[in-house]
Amino acid sequence: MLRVEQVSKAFGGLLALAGVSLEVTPGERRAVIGPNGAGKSTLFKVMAGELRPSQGRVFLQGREVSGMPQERVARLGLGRTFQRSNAFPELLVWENVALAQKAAQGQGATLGQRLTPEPGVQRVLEQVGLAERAHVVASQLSHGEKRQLEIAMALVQNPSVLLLDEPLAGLSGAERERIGELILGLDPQMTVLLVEHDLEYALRFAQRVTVLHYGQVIAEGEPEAIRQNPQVQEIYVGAGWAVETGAATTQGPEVLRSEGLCAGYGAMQVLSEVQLEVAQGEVVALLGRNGMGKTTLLSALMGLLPLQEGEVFFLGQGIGRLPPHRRAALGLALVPQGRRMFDGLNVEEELQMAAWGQRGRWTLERVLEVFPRLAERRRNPSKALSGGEQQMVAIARALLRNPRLVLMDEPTEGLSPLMVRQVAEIIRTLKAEGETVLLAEQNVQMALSVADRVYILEHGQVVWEGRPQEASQAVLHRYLGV
Amino acid sequence: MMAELSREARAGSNGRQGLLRWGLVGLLLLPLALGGYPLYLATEAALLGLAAVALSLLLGHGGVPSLGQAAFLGLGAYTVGLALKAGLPLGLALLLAPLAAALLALLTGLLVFRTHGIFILMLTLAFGQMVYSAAHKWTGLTGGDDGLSLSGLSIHPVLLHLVAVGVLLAAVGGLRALLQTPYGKTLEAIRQNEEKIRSLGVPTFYYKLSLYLLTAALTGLAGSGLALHRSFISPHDLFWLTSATLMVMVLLGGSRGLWGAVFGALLYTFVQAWVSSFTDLWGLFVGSLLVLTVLFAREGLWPLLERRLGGGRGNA
Repeated sequence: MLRVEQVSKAFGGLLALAGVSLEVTPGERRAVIGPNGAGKSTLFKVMAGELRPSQGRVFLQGREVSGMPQERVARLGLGRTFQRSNAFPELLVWENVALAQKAAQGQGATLGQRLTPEPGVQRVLEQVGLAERAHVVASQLSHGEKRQLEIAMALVQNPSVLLLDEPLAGLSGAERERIGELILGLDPQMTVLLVEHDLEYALRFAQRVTVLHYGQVIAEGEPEAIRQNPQVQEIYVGAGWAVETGAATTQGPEVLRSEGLCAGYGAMQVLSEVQLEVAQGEVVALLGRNGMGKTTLLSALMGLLPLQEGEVFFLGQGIGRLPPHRRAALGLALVPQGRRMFDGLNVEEELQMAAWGQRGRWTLERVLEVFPRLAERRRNPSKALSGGEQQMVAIARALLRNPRLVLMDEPTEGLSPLMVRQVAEIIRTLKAEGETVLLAEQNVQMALSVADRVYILEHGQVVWEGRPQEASQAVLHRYLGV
Repeated sequence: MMAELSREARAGSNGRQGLLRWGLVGLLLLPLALGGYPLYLATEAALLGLAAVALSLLLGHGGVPSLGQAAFLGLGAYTVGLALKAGLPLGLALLLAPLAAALLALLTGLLVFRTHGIFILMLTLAFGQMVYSAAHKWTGLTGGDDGLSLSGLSIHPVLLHLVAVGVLLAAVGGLRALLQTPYGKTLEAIRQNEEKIRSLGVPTFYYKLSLYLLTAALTGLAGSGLALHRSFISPHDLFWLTSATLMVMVLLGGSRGLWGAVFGALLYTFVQAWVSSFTDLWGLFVGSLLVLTVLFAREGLWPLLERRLGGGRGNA
């Protein structure tokens, strides 16, 4: 059905794919897994014709498609969902799907009649559970609904091969469940390839699994065999996490304290009466499921969101009414979610920009010494780095401001387990360097392994606080569902 | 119950929006009663309006920022002028004008649509200036700086105006219907997310090229109308400033929905005539107007009017 022969793809000096071969039979469910930067997305792009392979060939139903423009490959029956797509945001949901259908029928250029929601469109919208939302503008869909729309647009084309690029990334709870079920319930006739970081899900979905690492296939087989494969375990899962049990760091002087902090968006109150303390040299973890107010709390502390009530004390000074740049000048630094690299800058320029006009213990040289990986990559464009490396740059940028307290917003978001370990390592390094960190995190295991103290946030309130080793299974299960 | 209420409300606002459009048509026709200079200006506005509508379709709906529309306008004008001078009948001359413009669009479009964004702007600008230079320097054909006079021909101003307004309204109606077809919606999709629509199997290059040909032909037709209207063709009308003027009209009126472009052309033409009657600082005035529009009515003045007077969402 789909065959990839010895495909290589180089970006400049970086070899993203180094001789990948794989063959997928009709109706097969295939998962492609591997740590971040393994080349999974690049492989999908090469299959879909978005990227031309530097070497090697791709065949779809026995026909060579490598070198064809992606619209030709699509017309030959290759469907695809994007990890980040909001389709056509200004069009209605059904119009998005109807256009996909017209495109597949080769009738995109029809002039004689209006675009209408035909039965096929309705059927697919019902299948993915968007029938109720058909007449909404696509930009108004929730994160999860946008994924459903992505899938609907692929399904209406009735592709013979469907590529799903991380359809569950960034989803949580009910949305994750819903879309996971939707994918498991796809027509068994259809050949489906899935790239997914959620290993449990990928192994449940797949009949066969291909493991990529540094652009090479290091294993291929049935899910159970892959699960047992020691090499795969080593690179992909790593060893278990150990909860931080070291002697409690002696409590230093208070750096940050919030009292009765209430904040929210417009009239909506998200945080109510949050009491929080961070002492010098501590790593404090802020845990909570998605939507429980972690990001909102960090934004309020940084001043990106006005306080509705309460006060924030930083180094003994009330800062609750100061604008963000004044708080930054006092020594508060935020590492935002999503890393936010600058377009067109290389690693060194990113860091130089952050270091500009700063004097203190963190200099460019010191940062490159502590993060040797960045020293290796100093000439690479920051946008071309892997997720974990970008996170390193984002943290290094914050450090170069020589802050008294670093606020980190979900630094492991969207990273593979291997990269998560790297981030944990970075945070331990910071701790060893005597930095103070307030870490909002969804990855409970990781947070518990680095934190001195833990707050659990639920529905905008602190519901538990204590030491990691005191966070018993019962507490974690009750509040976090882990 | 709620749905019914909102439907009624929408029908009401649609009615008021319809009224607003009739008002605009009324403004275009009113000078028929006045004759003379107002009528001259109104015909000018209707013809430039046609070119502005074409640019609005290209820019606002297709997402193609062209700064070379003056070339199509001028080519249409010269084609009709030279065809008449060669003794061809008027009907044939008026048919040749849009064809010539579309041919130019085909030749340039093959190159233009290999690029994106700002490069399209620069390429269309460059091609436009090349056509301007040709018109300016090829004195044997165009008369160069002296221009081309069509004084032999006389069409009654009232008839010309009625035809110009008729063509303009037909174009707006036809193109708005086109935007509702799969082709039109695909164009909007290309503007919003080209990578995605390509992955769905749409060869976007041909869509953009065909849109470019269509808008060039309409602009060429507008140019032929202007030649008849002014009885004179100057190469300076092909200078890139004319392209910029069309873009200002579109931005003033609003680049989506096409009615905005008609309003922009009308507003620009009359305000320019009015302000230049007492000061030479016309540029200062239009500049301030554009700044205010961009700051306070980013979607353009027409959607603002629709919201204020029409009470609707102004989705045109």
